[in-house]
Amino acid sequence: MKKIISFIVLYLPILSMLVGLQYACNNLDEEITDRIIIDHHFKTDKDYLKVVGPLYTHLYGLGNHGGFFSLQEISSDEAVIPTRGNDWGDGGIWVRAHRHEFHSYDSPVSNAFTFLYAGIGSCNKTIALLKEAVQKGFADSALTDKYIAEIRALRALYYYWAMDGFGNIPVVLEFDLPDNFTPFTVQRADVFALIEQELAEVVPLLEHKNDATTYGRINYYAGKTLQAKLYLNAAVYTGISRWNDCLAACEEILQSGAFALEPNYRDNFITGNANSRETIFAVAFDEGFAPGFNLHMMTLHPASQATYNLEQQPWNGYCSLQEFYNKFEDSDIRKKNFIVGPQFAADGVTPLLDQFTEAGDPDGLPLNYTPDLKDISGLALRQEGARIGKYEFRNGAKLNLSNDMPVFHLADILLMKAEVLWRLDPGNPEALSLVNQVRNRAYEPDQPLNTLTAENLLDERGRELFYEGVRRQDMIRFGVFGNPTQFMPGSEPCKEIWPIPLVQLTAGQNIQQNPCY
Amino acid sequence: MMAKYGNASHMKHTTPHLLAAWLCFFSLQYVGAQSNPVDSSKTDRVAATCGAISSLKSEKFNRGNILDPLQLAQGRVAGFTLARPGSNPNEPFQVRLRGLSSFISATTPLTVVNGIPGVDPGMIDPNEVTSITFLKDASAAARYGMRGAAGVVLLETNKGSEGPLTLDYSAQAALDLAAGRYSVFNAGEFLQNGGLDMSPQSNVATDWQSEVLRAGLAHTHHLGIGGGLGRGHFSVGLNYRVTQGILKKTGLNQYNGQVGIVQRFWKNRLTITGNLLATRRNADPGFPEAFRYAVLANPSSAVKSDDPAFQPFGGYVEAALFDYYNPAAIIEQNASRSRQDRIFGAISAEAQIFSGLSALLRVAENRDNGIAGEFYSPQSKWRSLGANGSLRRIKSTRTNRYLESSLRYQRALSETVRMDLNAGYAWQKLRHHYEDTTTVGVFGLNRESKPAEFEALVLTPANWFGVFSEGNNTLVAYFGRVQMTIRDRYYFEAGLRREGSSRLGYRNRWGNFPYAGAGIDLTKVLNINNFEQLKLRVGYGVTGQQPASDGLSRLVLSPGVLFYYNGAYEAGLGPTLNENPDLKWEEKREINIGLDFSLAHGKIVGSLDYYRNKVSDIIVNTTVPSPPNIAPNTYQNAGEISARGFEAAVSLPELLNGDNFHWSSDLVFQTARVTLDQTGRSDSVSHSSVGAPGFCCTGYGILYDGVVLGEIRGAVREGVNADGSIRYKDIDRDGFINTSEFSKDQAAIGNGMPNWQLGWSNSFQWSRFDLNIFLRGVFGHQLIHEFRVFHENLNTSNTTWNHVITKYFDARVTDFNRFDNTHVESASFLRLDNLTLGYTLPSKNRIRRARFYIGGQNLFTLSGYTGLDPEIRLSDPGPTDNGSRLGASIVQAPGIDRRNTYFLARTFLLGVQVGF
Repeated sequence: MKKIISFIVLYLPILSMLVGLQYACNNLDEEITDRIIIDHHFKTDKDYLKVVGPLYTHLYGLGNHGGFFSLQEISSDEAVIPTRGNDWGDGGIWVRAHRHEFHSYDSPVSNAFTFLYAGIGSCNKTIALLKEAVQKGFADSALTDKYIAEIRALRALYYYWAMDGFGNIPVVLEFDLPDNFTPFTVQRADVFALIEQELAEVVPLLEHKNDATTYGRINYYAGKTLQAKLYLNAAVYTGISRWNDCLAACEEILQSGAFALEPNYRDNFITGNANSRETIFAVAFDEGFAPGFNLHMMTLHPASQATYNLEQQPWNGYCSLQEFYNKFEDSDIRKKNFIVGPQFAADGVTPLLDQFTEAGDPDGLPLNYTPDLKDISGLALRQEGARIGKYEFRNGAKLNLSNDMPVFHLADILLMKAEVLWRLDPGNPEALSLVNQVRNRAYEPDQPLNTLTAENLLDERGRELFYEGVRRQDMIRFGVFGNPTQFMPGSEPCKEIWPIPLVQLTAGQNIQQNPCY
Repeated sequence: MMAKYGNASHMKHTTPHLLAAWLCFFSLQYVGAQSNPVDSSKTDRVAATCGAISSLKSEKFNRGNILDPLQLAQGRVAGFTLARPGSNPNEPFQVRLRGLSSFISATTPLTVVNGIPGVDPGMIDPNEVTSITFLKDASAAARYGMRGAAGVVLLETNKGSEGPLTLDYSAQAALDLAAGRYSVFNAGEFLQNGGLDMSPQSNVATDWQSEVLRAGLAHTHHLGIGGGLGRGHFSVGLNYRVTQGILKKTGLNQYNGQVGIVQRFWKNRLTITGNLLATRRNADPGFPEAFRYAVLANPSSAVKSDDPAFQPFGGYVEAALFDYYNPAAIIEQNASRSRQDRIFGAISAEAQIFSGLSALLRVAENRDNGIAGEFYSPQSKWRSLGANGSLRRIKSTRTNRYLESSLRYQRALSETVRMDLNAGYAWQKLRHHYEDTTTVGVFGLNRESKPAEFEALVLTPANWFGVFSEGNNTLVAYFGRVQMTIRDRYYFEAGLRREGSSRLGYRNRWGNFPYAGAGIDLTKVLNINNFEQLKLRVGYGVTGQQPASDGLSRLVLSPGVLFYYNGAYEAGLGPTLNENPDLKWEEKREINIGLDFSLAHGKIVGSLDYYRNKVSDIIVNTTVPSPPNIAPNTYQNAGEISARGFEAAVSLPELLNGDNFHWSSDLVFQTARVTLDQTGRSDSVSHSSVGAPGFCCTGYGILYDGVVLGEIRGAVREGVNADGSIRYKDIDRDGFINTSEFSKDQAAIGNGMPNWQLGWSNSFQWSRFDLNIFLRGVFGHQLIHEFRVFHENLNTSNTTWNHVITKYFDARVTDFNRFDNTHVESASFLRLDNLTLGYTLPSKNRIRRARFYIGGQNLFTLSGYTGLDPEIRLSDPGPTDNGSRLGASIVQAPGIDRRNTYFLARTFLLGVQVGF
């Protein structure tokens, strides 16, 4: 009896605890609070943005030297990197790029390709991540669809650029590929069809809002602009023009009323230009948080450090060409896209002296940017060349700029619509009025054109969209890309697309080189 | 490869353990040291068990100025290795029990304090430890299942004993002096050999090592009260200790209080045991890197100067050179402080339900709060150049909650057969929280500021950056064990622990850790003369090791680049770690064969053990291709280590036993060989970068499948040419000398792991005098003397740093410094670890005991090694330069004597013990 009482008094609580513990305390679920685990993620828009946002940071590469954007610019007639003495010689790659002597082993070509396909790869990876989250039941499928649409649209932008530059390219739309998969070349017209199909599927799903939350991202209108660009150049890509499809996309953007021309052209390119109502899609740079845009360092002469009180001495590289510079009238505010003439310190009166000036420089010590370049392959003088001043260089600028770089903006839509109308009917009065709407902003008083020709339409685009990475495409569309210019002796039509980089050819056995490389 | 896994319901992986628990009732265990009949003053065995277990009582502990409780057993237990190069009081010891068991998970034994696993022994004052027990092989350590693979150490603290009330006071003073210094050029020699003259106007000659060294003073005090208390006993202890390091501005002080109580109720049928421990440690970790720069600093440079050029550095002479710092400035301008508060509470109740059946319930909690601050003066070149001062604050909190309940049934089945059954359940949750923030441009603080002031400083988001981590770890175990003794000569035991950990992949959360052993006392079976005991035992067991931290099996997204959203830049996330739902524990399988003996009427007692083990499924952070994987890294069970070794412990308790004279001696011996069968890497990879200047990307060794732990690889020197250049051996005979590629002209040129180790202690008693001598030896290992690698040759391109001069110095050599076999030196040593001479006064009425002693630690070291401390380096902290901080140590790379190593001290002691 005593034993039983002891048992009850002493052991029963323990026994009941033991039994209770089986249920309460064998839970081994991991609680992670200091890291993001896929299971606890993907509930709100912000959660998605955390993985979609970084995809846009890859575009910071557009603002830097050496790759896709440089190749677009230097192979056009609006920019060049002259070799001054030994400076910027770089084995002749930039001179060759300007002369359309592209080689599959030149680094700008492989950098451009790698930039685009790394962007495509991270889009594919993030799509795979989101699909995995949905498959495991950790993500909301409606929100996921919306963000996957955005990623596919961004990926379409990369493919559009790749098709524009390289023509016939590999297309990979999946992340988790079978081991034996090797990418293969898709012909340009088929790439066009793939991009068209992708955009047709995803653009309707994109965010229609156009505000601070969509700034720097591909929203509905950015998607529409991409479609417009694709159709505008359809004849180049496929041999079949799609003017009406371009027109429809442009009209939808214009009719939305979401965008308006800034009264002052230059306001689109100032430091902190994120508020421009004209911008449809931009790369949002910041000197600290989003570094990568360093045009001031690339284009200015070292002595110009004193003009802008720059943190570091610039590198004296990119400049424009006299022929192109002369397309601007003196009364055109857009002529301020160039920095020319004698240069002064920040006080505006003290002349800048170039201590390294060459003996043969007629300007001598005082720094004077002259649009006339004597040469681009070694004999160029350090002070020569109109500098690219399209973007404001703020006083005290650091190594990187805080100006956002518009990829698409309204003026381009207006000019595209004008061009399409003109191509459909050269006498269309709306075409002329659209061009003048853009043009008049640059003049005080207005100096409208009276008639539209291929030449003045292309020139107007050149003036308005200088250094926005579209000149090469425009020249090709207007059929003048291979025409000789001052330092470009003329090139065959097959140079309208770049060679596939050699490393890609050796890595992928099913990748073919473009014709004439 | 990225695999596709099932749906979400798999994540809620709960196991129907009720059945398992009940099944377990018919098997094994609990071996808290408390219920374990550990006795005897010798390094001996628990009679009924068959594993390799060594237990040490306080009488056999090491003496001297000891801070880490495990140091009490250094060299005293075969198979136990405790090493710390140099004498930095704030640097933890590296601990191994039977070689290496893992790469990135725990490689140091699980410590169990008063039956509570996972408690850091650093919170106990060594004066309060009464016994340390080592569960060395897997058949013994399997009782701790998921965390037992690196062995288990059980510590018990003082709980007093029955009898009259006693009051004990002991005090000890210690003096630490540098045991050696590096021989370097003086100013004249330095300039003669092309060194940069930093005092062209005057003849400055600075002995930089003297500028940073000091005599370190230490004192400890212990006050203890204990005795019987009704039906129980108790102990209360108060401890205070102050230790100064031999590097200026390093040291610590520690307050500790502890209460241990055992009380019985209901005719001794209920026993309550309680423990409360609280420790506060204030430390000055200082900057041990100052030693490196004290060896290398330019001797023609003054410490301070009035020259306005040095005004920006507060008058300290600095040079704008790579990796060059004024060591006095490092110490005097900056501060590194920490405070750690720890509290431990445990209570257990053991009830006898009826004869033979008892139940145990144990609950415990401990907390550990730490704050550390580092302050860098705006004038300091060290870690502050261009930052206008900087401040670092580290806050950490750890908590450990534990609950265990078990039943034990002991019964004699017959006259000759005794049985002991034990089964139970244990639950533990460990949490941690860690913040490490740095801010630059700090004002209003100086090197005398206290950690609390660091904490009070408001860190504005604009100028701080840091890391943060927190997490928790739940472990649940069911265990059972049966032990049988038949006719006092046959022993048998078997057990199983089924344990789960939250850190494992959800498909592999629960592991089974079985063990079994058998023993036979041959003296009772065969007729063997002179032997009182000759017990042969065999044990086999499986232990595990859980992953190093939580979240390793999950798809982790980590903050990376910033992106623009809604007017601001936000941190974006990118995948950094792939999921591995199959991530399982590391598993160690070990067989141990042992022989315990006692002969000549107990005059020779000892044990021999031979073991072989294999640890498989070792967790490795592998780099995987992406695509197809979403992230570039996955934690996988990919490594394998095997080891075998032999251990011997022999005690001669009565080597001499006269009327007035007594001599006893203990000897322990160990040898082991560890092989990394699978490194978990697809290619052989170089490890342990030599470092700057000049060797950022070459390593001291390579990891390949089958490499013997500790292998050192490098170039082989053939000789020196007439022009002072070094001739290297063309090992691959391709006609070219390429010493930087391991596949070409490199060879295995040494090993950092010892062949064998021994500890030999001798106790003499003569009248009222007692003398203890403890010698510790480590043999057969090599060390890379890194100062020589970088700073031996008289190469003219090196005008910055001083040269380290050893017997290997050859003034003819003017080639570039490059690591080769001549820098790998034998580092075998025999050290007089401890010597104590005591005198006990005759006891008076009121004074129960009074003893005075003098002694020393590390009084001499016999070694051919030309560095300061030939102690083995069990892991490599890696290279640093220009004030960079150390990363995680690599355990696969023993044997590198890095330049940052703290100097070795020699300690002289004076102490008194009084008991009332």
